[in-house]
Parts: sequence; C-alpha cells; structure tokens
Amino acid sequence: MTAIELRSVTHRYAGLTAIDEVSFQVPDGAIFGLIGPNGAGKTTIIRIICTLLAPASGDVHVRGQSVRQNRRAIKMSLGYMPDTPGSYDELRVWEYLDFYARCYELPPSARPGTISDLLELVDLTAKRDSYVYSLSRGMHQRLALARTLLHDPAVLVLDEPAAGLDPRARVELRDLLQELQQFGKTILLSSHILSDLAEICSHVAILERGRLVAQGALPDVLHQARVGRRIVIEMIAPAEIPPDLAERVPELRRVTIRQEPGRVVLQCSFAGDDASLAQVLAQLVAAGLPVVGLREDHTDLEEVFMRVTGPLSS
Amino acid sequence: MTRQLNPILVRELRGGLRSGRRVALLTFFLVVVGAFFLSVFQVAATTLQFDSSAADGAAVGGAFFPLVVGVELFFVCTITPGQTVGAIADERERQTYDLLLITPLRPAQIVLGKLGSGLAYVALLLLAALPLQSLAFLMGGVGIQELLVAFLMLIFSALLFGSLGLWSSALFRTSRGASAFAYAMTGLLTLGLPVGAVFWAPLSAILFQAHQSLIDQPPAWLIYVGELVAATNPWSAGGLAEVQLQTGKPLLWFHQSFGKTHVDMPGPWLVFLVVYGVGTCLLLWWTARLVRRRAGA
Repeated sequence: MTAIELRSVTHRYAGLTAIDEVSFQVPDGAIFGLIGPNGAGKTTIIRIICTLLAPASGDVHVRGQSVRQNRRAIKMSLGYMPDTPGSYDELRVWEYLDFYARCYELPPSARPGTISDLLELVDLTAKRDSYVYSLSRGMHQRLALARTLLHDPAVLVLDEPAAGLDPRARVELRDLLQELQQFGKTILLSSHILSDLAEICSHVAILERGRLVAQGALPDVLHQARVGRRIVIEMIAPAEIPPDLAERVPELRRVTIRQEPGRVVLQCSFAGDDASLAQVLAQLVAAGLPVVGLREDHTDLEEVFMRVTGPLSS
Repeated sequence: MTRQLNPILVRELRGGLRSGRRVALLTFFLVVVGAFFLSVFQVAATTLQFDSSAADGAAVGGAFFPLVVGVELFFVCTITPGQTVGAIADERERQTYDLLLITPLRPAQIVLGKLGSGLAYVALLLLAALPLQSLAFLMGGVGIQELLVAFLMLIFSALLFGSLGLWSSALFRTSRGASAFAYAMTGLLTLGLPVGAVFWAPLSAILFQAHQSLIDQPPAWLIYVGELVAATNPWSAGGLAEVQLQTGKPLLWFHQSFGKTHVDMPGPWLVFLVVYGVGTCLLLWWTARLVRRRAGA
C-alpha cells in the first residue's frame, strides 16, 4: 500500500510557482527523505500533505484519502512536526501532551497510559512534571515527536526534525526514527543534513526550484546519478600499493590514496554489488596488502544532491 | 465517543490562570472596586446623615448599585478584549497555530475554546466582585430584577468585547496589530455614542426647532431607531434600563409617551442583549471563517 501519493501537485504563492507538477509515492513503512536547497518547495509539499495548504492543482492521497475530500481522516492518520515546533511554555510536559491527546479525542481512560508510554519512548519520563520552557532543544524535539505519536498515526511527517540539534541529540533522534520505523510507521522527513538522511532513508526525492529532479529508492537514486558506491579501504602503513592496482581490480575506479598516521587510506568508486565487493577484498588480501578495514562511505547522497541540483542552489 | 470539555479551554485554564499577571490584575480590580465602594458609601452616608434606618440604607444602596455596576462595566470593556485579543495571533507568534489546525478540532471549537477561556477570567472577576454588589442588594433600594439585569448586561458586554478581541486576533497577523484594532473598536463602541451625542446635540436643537412636530409628535420609527442606537452602547443602555426599573416600569415591555406619540417598547436592556447577542454571534461566525480559511479549507 502507498502511504502518501502526490499526483501532479502544483502550488503558487502570489503568482510565484512554489512547486510545479510534483509527483511521487511514499511506500508504506518507508523512511522517505525530502531533499532540496532552501526555497525548493519542501515545506510547501509537507504543508499540503498535512492539509495546511490546499494545492492549486493536482491531488495528494494519504493512505488512500484525498486531502481535498477527507481532511479529517488524514489528520487522524498523520503526525506532523513542523521545522520550528512551537510549544506552550507555561504548561508542564504531561499537560502539554494531555492537551494534544484531548485534541485528538483520546478517551480519558487512555490518556494517562499513552502519555506515560510516549514519555518513556522519548526518554522524558524524568521530565514529566517539568515546565516545557525548562527543556533543552533536544528534549523539545523529542517532546514534539511524542506529540506526533499521541494518536498512533500510521504516517509521520517531520519537517527538518534535526535542525539545531547537537550531534548527540541528532544521533538519538535518528535512532528514535529507526525504532519508529520498526514499529511500522511510515516517515517522511526533510533535512539539510544529508549524511543523516543517507543513513536512515530507504527512499528519497530531490527537489529544486519546485521541481522534482530525482526520486525513488535510495540505491536506485544513487545509481541513476551514476555515482556508484564509495568505498574506503584502510591498510597498515607503510603499504606498497601496486601501480597496476586499477588493472588488477577493475571494479575500483577513481582511486585516491591518502596517508594518515599509521594508515594508508584508499577512497574509490565501486560499481558492483556486495558479492563483488567481497571478491575485491579477497583480491587485495591475496595481493599482500595489509587491509585492516573496508567500509562504505555514505557521503554519496551529498554528491548526488550537488550533481542533480546544479551549481545555482543555495 | 466520550463527550469532554473543550481541550483549548482546559489548556488555557491550566496555563493561563497560573499567570502572575492575572492574579495581579484580579487583586487590582478588587482593590479598585472595593475602594470605590468605600468612598461612595462614605460620601452617601455623610450626605444622607446616615442613621442606620432602613430608608437611608435603601437610598445608599440605590445610589451605590449603579455606580458599582458602572465600574464593573468599565473593567469588562477594558479587560475582556485584552483576554482574547492574543488568542489566535499569539498562537501564530509562538508557532503553535499549525499544530492546532492539524488536529481534528473544528474551527468553531477553537474559537469557542478561546472565547471561553478569555471569558472565564472575566467571570472570575465578576464573581469576585459579587459580594460587593450584594451589599447594595442587602441595604435595600435594589431589587432582584436590577441585580439580574445588571448581571446579564455585564455578561453580554463581556461576550461581545471578548468576541471582538477574538475577531481582531484572527484578522491580524500580530498581537500588537490585533490589540490596537480591538481597542480602537472598543473605544468606538463605548465612547462613540457619548462623543457623537455631544456633536449631535446642537445639530438636533436646530433640526427640531425647524420641525417642531418632531418634538410634539415624533414618529414611532424614530423612537425605535433611537432606542436601537442607545442599545449599541452599554452605558446608555444601562442608564436607560436603570431609569426604566427605578420608575417602576415593567421589566420586559412597557408603554411610553413622547409628546403625543404613545408607543409600546421593549426594555432597553432587552434590546441591548439582542444587539450584543447578535453582534457576538456574527463576530464568532466571522472568526471561525477566518480560522477555517487559514486551515486550508
């Protein structure tokens, strides 16, 4: 089943086209990354999906329901976190969640249990009676995430959830999103931190100036952009790299060699699958190279992004 | 589905009534009304050579009651718009408005919740001042009808001025713009008629001199229009209602002569309730429309 489907969606602000004939599908259970430079139309798309904006033309379906016809059903099946989630500072943490639980019509008997469970999930149980204003930025984000989960929506739409978070909070948020995916949630998120997206997204769509320039499952998008996989091979220094390495292992392309203290690091593009990669490793070891590590470099998405969005992107 | 209290009302009462500003305002209100009561009582007692007799008590009560209600009305007119004027604009400013619109709450629920929470505080002020009003009632000179009419007029004033604040809040993007507009409109409604009357008085004297028949036998429609205009202002409507009740006229509907014209007319307070009730409904309807439009409908 498709969780979210955009069909030729266009939206204009005062004559300016913000998004133009955008179509894509978010499969059920996916973590879908919406990528684009500032002003590409990410937030507009998110607001249309969340029924906060009516599209000028086209339609959006969330779990089969049209945003033009079944807004209430969509609201009940969506959890939305805006890029700057406001809060009611004068409330305690549990009161904040209780307010939204009431808005989402949770029965009184279910509210205390749901709030406790969610506070535990986002690791804020100890802050239950604290005032919202006393929370750190990371805690705020986790509280906002708990709010989106109150009515147990099947789809989460998160606009720049990692914005302004320190590295630890980003990692915690990423782990939390992966945990939610395991619970069966479909997650659509936008972010500027492409390395984070590359690690957790199963699918991506790349926007530029309101137009979709690439979309699909992450490996397919990487393949479409012909970047291939980036492989990092670490060896104990000094390592004698054979000059004919590229001929002996033709799967490795664009090899660059970097010296680090006690290490020689090879970075290269690799076009094959995992089985081919295992063979390459065997060949390197057979050639007598002191390999101590081989890993895939996940910076590819940034390369794809730079390649498909062109030099004018801000 | 279990029926439950409006979530916005619950949240605003939880968070809003904790505010130190509101506690301070309540204290200030009671101090002012209490000080006013003591001053008026002192002056009345001195003037009437108050000797604790029932007749003097009634005279003091009769003089005191409209003044206390007038002070309360002043507070209702000035405080109520301030309680609701930030309702929608404030949600925008703290970036919680979208989160509200994405919930299944209907625009009418949002509007009524906001109005209810604003009025709850005003109701608290009125309830806190009720013992002072009741003193006048206990002294005599004030009937239960007067007490009831005064309370209804205060409530309907609070409803209209609260709705006015709410409407401004939905109309303007910032709390500051909404506040300026709401208080300008409040000023127009409360001071517009008295100020207009000052300018109208010399004009009407010339007009009526030229048309003596308007004084001798004014047309009935002019009398009704006059009553309707008076009903747009809480002070004039309250003053006319006080005269109606003090002169022993029936509460709802009474007979009145203007020169040779005799008309049956509704009590001014009743017209006031209708005008302010309809005005409140219109403003709430308009506010809900503005909220719905913002919600992308």
